[in-house]
Amino acid sequence: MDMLIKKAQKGDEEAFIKVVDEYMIPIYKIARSRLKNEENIGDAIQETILAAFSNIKRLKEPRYFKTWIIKILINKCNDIIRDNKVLYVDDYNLLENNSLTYSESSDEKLDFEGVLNKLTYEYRLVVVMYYVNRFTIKEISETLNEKEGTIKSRLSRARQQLKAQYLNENLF
Amino acid sequence: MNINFEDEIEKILNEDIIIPDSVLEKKEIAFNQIRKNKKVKFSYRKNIAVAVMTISIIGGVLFGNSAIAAIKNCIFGYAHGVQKAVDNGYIQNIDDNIMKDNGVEIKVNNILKDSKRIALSLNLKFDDKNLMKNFKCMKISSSISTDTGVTVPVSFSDYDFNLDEETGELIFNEVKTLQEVNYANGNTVLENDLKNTSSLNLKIKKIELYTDASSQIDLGILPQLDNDTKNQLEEAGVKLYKEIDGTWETNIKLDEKFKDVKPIKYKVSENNNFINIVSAELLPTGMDITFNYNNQTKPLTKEIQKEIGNIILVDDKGITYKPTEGVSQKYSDDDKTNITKTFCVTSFDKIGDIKMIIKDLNGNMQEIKLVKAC
Repeated sequence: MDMLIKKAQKGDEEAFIKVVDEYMIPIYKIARSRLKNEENIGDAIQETILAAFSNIKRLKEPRYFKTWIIKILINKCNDIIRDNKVLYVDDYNLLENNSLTYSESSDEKLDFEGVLNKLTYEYRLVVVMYYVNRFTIKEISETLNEKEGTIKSRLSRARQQLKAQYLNENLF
Repeated sequence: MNINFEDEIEKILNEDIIIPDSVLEKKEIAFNQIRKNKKVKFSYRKNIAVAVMTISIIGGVLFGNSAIAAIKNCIFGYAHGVQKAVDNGYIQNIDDNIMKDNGVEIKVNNILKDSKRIALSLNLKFDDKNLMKNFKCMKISSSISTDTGVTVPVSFSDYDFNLDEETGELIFNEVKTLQEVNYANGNTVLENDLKNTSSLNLKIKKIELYTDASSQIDLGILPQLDNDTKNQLEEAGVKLYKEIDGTWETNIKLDEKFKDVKPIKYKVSENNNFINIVSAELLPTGMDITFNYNNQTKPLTKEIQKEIGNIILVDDKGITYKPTEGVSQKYSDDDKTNITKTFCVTSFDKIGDIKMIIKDLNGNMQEIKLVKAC
């Protein structure tokens, strides 16, 4: 992968495209954790790809490509949220009563979307970064420009939310 | 329970998901934009240009570099003069002229010409789509003939393109610009032919496909090349992986608007001791100025050659016009070098007098005023 990234830095467009394609699922998951609307997710990803291509020469270490492009993506998502005044439900209690909550008794299988829907907005991103993109606490803190303690705390709260749901659904 | 719960969540979050089509479409739009805007750095063209210049001295035909980039909606983005002509409707769309041979379909999309330049836009489609998998750039060897029977060889080797790997289609949004068509004996027969011709015959004879020099793909049996060519290609960062010989020929009937378009001739308002203007002509696709240095006694140094690229024109409204990349040089009997540069000012700019800002051989900036000759 590093070789491809180096080629991309030398202007090889196809190498860049291959690298981005390789990371498409984690990129999509991050965008989905920030934005609900498909159109906005598509816009964020499109803008991220173009911005990353324009700036790839500035990336000092190829091994940080993933962290770097995710950071661009999060900024693009934030821009869209700001520009479109996208509103998200942040009240966990409201979410609990939401019909989207998972029920063991139903035939539905808990999936990525289902997990996200069980989390409040501010916890979704850290969960995806931690569990999907395998970022360390330090990397998340650097990417989001937040203190490590804040990230730890959000992760812990996210686990509690998920665990409460999980136990609830498995016991009842 | 705690471990199971964490494992379960992690497993669920990392399951493959289907990315919605609308999102994938936007990803593809971004990829296509990246592909579309790429400028092929094909330095081998420099070597080709040198080869063509050698031919011009022996055989009498001189071509300048074309370095035309397709940028967004611009067809001839880099050759600003040509692009300006296009923007003013000085272009002809071509229909129904598909040529096919040896598994390659070629179509001429657009054409334009004046007495100095011909610009073409082509589509190429390959039956064997695998040929495009590792494609980096190509060279097309062809010839163009006027209806008076004058034929000039043309090689397309520097261009931008859009490549659709799925369909095996290569779209040139820009083309080779034929910059100069003077014969070495001083005649400009072809120039007159180009001015008056009502049709052009395009005959493509060979297509060469190149991949990246570092490409490790199995390219099969590579075409045989001599060592010099191999070295040139290696320096240019490419390697030849396919040669396709064939005949792709079409006769294009030109629009009346291209016929007998006379250049607007300019001359110096006052003679000076530094620069001698041999000719200056304003055309729909650019302004060509041929000049030499009055006091030149030896071949031009690299520094002077570099300075030639910095010459600018300034019109009577103060608008500045840069030269295009190409330069042609011809050596006269008195050891002087006649230099021809093309500038992006065109007859569509409706200019009056114009100043040429140029450094003389001593490095001093000179201002040469050019006025209309009649």
